[in-house]
Amino acid sequence: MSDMRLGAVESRFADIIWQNEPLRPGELVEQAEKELSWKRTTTYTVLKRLCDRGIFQNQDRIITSLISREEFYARQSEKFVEETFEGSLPAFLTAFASRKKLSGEEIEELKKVIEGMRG
Amino acid sequence: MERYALFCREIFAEVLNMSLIAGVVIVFVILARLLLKRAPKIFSYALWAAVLFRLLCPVSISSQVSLLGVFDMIAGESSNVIGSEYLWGDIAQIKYPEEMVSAKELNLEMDDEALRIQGTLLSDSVEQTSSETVSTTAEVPVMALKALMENLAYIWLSGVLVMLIYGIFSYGKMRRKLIGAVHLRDNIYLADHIASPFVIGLLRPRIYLLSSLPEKEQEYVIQHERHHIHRLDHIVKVLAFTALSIHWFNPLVWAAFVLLGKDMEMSCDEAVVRKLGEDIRADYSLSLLSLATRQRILSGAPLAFGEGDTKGRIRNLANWKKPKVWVCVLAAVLSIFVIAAGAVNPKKSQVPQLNFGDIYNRETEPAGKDALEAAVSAAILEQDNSGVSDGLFHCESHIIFDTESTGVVLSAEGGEHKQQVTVYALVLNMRFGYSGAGFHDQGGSHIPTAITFEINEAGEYTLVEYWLPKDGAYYESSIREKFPNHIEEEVMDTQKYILWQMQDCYHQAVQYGDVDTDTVVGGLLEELQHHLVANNSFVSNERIYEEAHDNYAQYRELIYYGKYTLEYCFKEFTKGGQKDLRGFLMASFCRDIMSGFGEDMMADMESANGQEWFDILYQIAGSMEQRYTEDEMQNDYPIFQMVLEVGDGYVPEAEKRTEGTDEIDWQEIMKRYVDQEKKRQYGN
Repeated sequence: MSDMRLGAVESRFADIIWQNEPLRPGELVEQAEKELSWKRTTTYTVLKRLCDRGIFQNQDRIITSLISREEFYARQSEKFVEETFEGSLPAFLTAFASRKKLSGEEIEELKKVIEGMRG
Repeated sequence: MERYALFCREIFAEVLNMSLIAGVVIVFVILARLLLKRAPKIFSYALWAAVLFRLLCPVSISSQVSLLGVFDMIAGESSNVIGSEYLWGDIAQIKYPEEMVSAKELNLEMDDEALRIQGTLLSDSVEQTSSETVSTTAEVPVMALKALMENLAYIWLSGVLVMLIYGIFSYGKMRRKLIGAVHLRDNIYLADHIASPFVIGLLRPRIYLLSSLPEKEQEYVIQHERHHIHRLDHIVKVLAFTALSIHWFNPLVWAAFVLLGKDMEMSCDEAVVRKLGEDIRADYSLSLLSLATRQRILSGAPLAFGEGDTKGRIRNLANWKKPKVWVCVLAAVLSIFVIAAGAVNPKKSQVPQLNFGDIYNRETEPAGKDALEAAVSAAILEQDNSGVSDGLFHCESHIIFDTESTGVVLSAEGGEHKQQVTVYALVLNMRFGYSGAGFHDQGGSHIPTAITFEINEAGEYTLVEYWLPKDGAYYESSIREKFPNHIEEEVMDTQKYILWQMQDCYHQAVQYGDVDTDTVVGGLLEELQHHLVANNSFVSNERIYEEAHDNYAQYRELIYYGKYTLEYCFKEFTKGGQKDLRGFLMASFCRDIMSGFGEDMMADMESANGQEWFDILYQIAGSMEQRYTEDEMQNDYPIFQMVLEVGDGYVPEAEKRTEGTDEIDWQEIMKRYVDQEKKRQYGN
């Protein structure tokens, strides 16, 4: 599954499930609030996301994993993280860097420029 | 629905107007940015304030110095614009917003607005005369332009909606992505799967960092984003996007949006460097680069807006030097100048508005008059009389071009507050002697005058100085010296105002002597007719007009009688049958007087005879009556209102003849007029 990936925050959330499974949604909400200070709705939203990615399932109000933690990270290292950032940044954000396609040459050139600043 | 369409067109016209003006400002800002290339980027960034203001605010401030003076240079003498706004805008303010906007909008080189008004008025009256005639007017370009303008307005509106929906959609998408972000500290959060660190939120802006990077590595990012928030850039960005949504059709605005973004980021980079010290530039650049390259490796997604930004920013930092004080001062001066000059409209040389109502509906009670006006009148008459009793009626008409308060002066004795005011006016003095039924012009003067008063605590005016220009060779130079710059040209153009002022004086003389104007005007007309026939000048219409206009005092007098001549002629016309020389002359007087008051829709219209001219005028007045309220008619079209009042119940002959049938003659007349207009527009 190409979108089977976890961000750093999601990983912390996923770890809660892996460590405590099987668990009830109520317990998860409690744990997530303690560790991530998430609200109930946030927990459900992110849980839904990870279920959609096929990592966990929520059946009959029991949350279990479809794939173990070890298996998940093994797959991750085989396949390089295929993170995709869909769409462009909305125009009304002020962003630190906007997404650019820089060629290898350009990167080399910029590195030289940066070295020049140190001199 | 029609109301809604009209509303759309008006708004669209306003937007076009703003877009055009902003376009000019954008070009100037881009040029100024070139000059500011070496200066700190904050100055380039500041320049966009003027553009944003122009794009978002329909109102503006006037000043002598403005970049938009270029419009005046282009338009030159040919634009006899009445309003105070620009190009499309001033047209939108005239009472025919929908048609006029369309006509003017696509005919920038066209300088004869009156022609257009005729066209639209006519098409309007045709519509109301008979639905069948609409097909003939469909060829009139104004109608087609109106339809085109309406379509364009809808296309524009759809574009705005698309932009706004895109904005809301991508905002919502980003918000959803941020669910599950973890609070780090202060207003800083960590989020998964975002492309770049950014600030979001108008009232409570929050910084979102990439969860995949350790916090330590994001130190510069945090500094950068904090500075954005500190400068309210997150709000500027939303405003800029709003402006872009409204002006989506203007490529210059897209360019401005991109460049504004660049200047915003670069100036923010510089601010962080200034704060943390020059030495961090390399590390700072490295985090920029690592973010950019990281994304390339990870995403391979389509390009975002503003290609080459990271490159440009790193190069900008490489070239960064501690800014020299003089560079900053110079850049600040240039920026302030461009911002100020770009945000204001040029102050027009003041042209007083001369209206029909200002003469004939004026308050006759001195108490009702403005105190300053009254003081000016008294000063002029006193100066003119100078104690002479010559048995003549002295009157004056003045137009005030400007007044200057010389402020509060502390007088030596008792510390009293005294204020002085100087009035710059064009003054006409006239003397009339009464004999027979009327009165006769016994001379006068027409001259720019500056009158200074002292105002005491009770608000009473005391004459301090009555200034007149020097004679002969020094006339012009003395005026230029005394009068404020922005009115000196106007005040010396005495010919432009003489007609109105003479009419004003004639009106006073009529009132004073309780003159029976119908008898006098009728007599003058008869004399003129008699002379023309006796001299055998009845060759062609133009010839008669020239002859009468150039050689006979009666003609001028009849024009000076203004409203009274109009009244007389309208009365005569409503009796019908004015198809000969008399009718022709009456129509000529009416046209000349009407064009003097700006109600010259019919001034150039050729017609078979005077009666036909009046019949069409009457018809148009009738269609205007349905369109405007009585107040609007009274204020904006007093002469048409007069036509309605005098002609109340009048039925034109053409209509009388064909009563009961389908009014075929009216269509004939209108058609002829439309053909004539077309020939005028395209034939030459």
